[in-house]
Amino acid sequence: MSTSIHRASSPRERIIRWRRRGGLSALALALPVLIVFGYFSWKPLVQGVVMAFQKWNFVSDPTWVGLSNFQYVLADPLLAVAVGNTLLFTVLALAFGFPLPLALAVAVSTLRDRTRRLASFLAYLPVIVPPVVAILLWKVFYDPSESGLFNSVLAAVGLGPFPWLNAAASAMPSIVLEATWAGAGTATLIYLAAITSVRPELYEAAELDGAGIASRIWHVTFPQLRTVILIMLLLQVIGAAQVFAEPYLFTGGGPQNATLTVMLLLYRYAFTGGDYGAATALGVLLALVLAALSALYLVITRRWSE
Amino acid sequence: MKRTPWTLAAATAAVALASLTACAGAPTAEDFEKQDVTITIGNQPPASQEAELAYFTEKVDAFREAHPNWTIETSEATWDPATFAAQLAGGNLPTVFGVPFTDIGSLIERGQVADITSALETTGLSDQLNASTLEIAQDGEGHVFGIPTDAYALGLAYNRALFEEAGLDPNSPPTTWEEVQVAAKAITEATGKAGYSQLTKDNQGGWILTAQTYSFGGTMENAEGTEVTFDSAETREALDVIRTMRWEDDSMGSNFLLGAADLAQSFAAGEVGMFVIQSLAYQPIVEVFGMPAEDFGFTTLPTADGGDPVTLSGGNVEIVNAKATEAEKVAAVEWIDFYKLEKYRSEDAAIADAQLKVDQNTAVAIPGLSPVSDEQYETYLGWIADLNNVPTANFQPYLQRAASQTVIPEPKSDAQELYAALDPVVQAVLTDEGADVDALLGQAADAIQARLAR
Repeated sequence: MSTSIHRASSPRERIIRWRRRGGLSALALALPVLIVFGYFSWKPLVQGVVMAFQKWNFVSDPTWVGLSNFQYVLADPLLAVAVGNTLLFTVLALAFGFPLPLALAVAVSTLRDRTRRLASFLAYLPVIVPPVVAILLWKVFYDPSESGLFNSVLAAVGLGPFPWLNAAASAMPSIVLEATWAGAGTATLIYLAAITSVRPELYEAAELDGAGIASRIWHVTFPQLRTVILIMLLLQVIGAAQVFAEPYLFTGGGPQNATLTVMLLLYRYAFTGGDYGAATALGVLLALVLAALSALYLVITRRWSE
Repeated sequence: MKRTPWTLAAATAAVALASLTACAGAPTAEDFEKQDVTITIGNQPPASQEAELAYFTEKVDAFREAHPNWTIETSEATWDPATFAAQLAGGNLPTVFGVPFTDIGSLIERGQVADITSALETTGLSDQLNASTLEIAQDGEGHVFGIPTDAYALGLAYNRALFEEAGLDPNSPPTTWEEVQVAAKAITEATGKAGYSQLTKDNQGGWILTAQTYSFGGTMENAEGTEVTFDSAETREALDVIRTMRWEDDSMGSNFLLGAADLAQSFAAGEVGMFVIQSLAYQPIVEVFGMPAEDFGFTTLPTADGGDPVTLSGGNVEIVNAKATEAEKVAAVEWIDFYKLEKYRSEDAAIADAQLKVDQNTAVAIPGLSPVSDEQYETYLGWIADLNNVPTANFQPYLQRAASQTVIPEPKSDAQELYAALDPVVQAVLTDEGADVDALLGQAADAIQARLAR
């Protein structure tokens, strides 16, 4: 019956109903946020997409260049290198950075009150260190000479010296190691919060059925965390695909472009070459790929979750 | 009203010019002087550099007094490629500020810098400038887009103490790349330090490789800046020098991802025997990183065969905001002259400038290239000779050969990008013994050729 009423209502009536329901005050409440978001977040976003089709020196009027920016970016031999490196970083970052916080969170959750607080504080500590400071600190640790910190420690057990950032093969894993150290804390806390929300009755029931610790984690904790795990995975993929600060500060993309990522290439287009057209074109391409990836991921995981 | 001899001369010239062009109706310096103009001067020293800021403020005040109708504002903004475009678009760019030689070509090409040709004529300054240095800031049609105010040539910095430790004579440093190799080996063998090191990142790997390629007689781009030319035998020879030192002599230490600050710091700490840099680096190396001034040695860029040195030049060029009006351009040009160039013409200004630097314990006149005519520069050096606190004796190997050296400017188009493309090549040679130089150079050349064609 209600549907027939809806179908009959005119736009005018709908607006009146919306107003009666407090729509106006809700809008007034949201307006400042909408304006701020619109101006500082969405407008640059739209402008960025527009600029990808333009050539502009910021002095005279921009000229439309069609797809030429995209053609230039796609023909750049460095793009393949950058995409490869970004994929490598993403895979490595997931291999190290995905299971570690989960394991940490599970481990911390088994601790008692005070030790648990201390453990979660320690896990979160690296996140408090400003990224630039952390990276510069690790750069010192990675000193490739025999007197470097990591190299002297490893020399004590008869290993090394390793070139760390100074060799194409080891530069990216070295960067991932630092990124994992720096990023694990946040993920750990989120998992920890999710674990705490798992109802204790489930564990008690499992225990009554004779499940051990490993079995309880596998059959109770993980399934209960599924949604959080899936979202965290997606966020990590998106974050890893946009890695910038680490390669920028550690290696500047070297050696031999081994750590040149897509974002670093984009940065170079814009700020070394002053080519904002190419930079925004690459940004649009990256955004499209990530959006497609997210959509695909959501479709697949929805099927799992059902 | 306090007037410097120069502004007086300019005014006189302008009056003379005015009488000639009066019928044409073009505005003269006098006309602009009466106008209500506002300019913002960039590169104001930060509050932490007290003495420099005091000097700057004093100069700004004097400039205000000399031009009562103009409103002069100041800003700490400096050249920063990461914020330049945004500031330009947002209208927050100062009216006048300095950029490196490396970037002026690209700025001209992109139309992001003001054409000051007519402002130079209006102020009468065009006749005063060193025509050959001015070339760096000109386009193909001879229009002027900036005024070079500091210039340098790349050369070889070396640690005199390490030279002595290794049994080498610090008063006759290497003049050829072969001698550099021998000296580097000797230093590493005697002291365990890196005999020679080289910048490899932040576009500086390509920058130094450009100088080295020049020293072997090569070029990076054709004169017009339309064709890449660095995929050549000369670049390979240059790379082979560092390859030999790295892999055969092991005289280059263990860190091969070095920016200027990293390397300057290692050099100042006595960890590196030699590296290629501009002479003006003396200031940060000694004043910021604490190298004893007597240990700092400097000579011309080594050569391929012992002939006259060939090197790469660089420096600072003052530019005017692309959105400036004609009156603003005139005011900006007047300021550049007053602040940066007057000391080369006026003994009083030269001495005041030097005295300030002495007071704050900073280098007065480091040997480099002259932004003005050589004659004018010599006169200036004479005026400040008693005040100069730089140990010029340590620069003797450079000064003896400087007059005979050929100085080549940076690549004409997209220099910064070209350097960036060559960083990985230098890094590859130093971190991978089997690096395929041909493939790497070819790849870099393709990338830059595509860039130039854009």
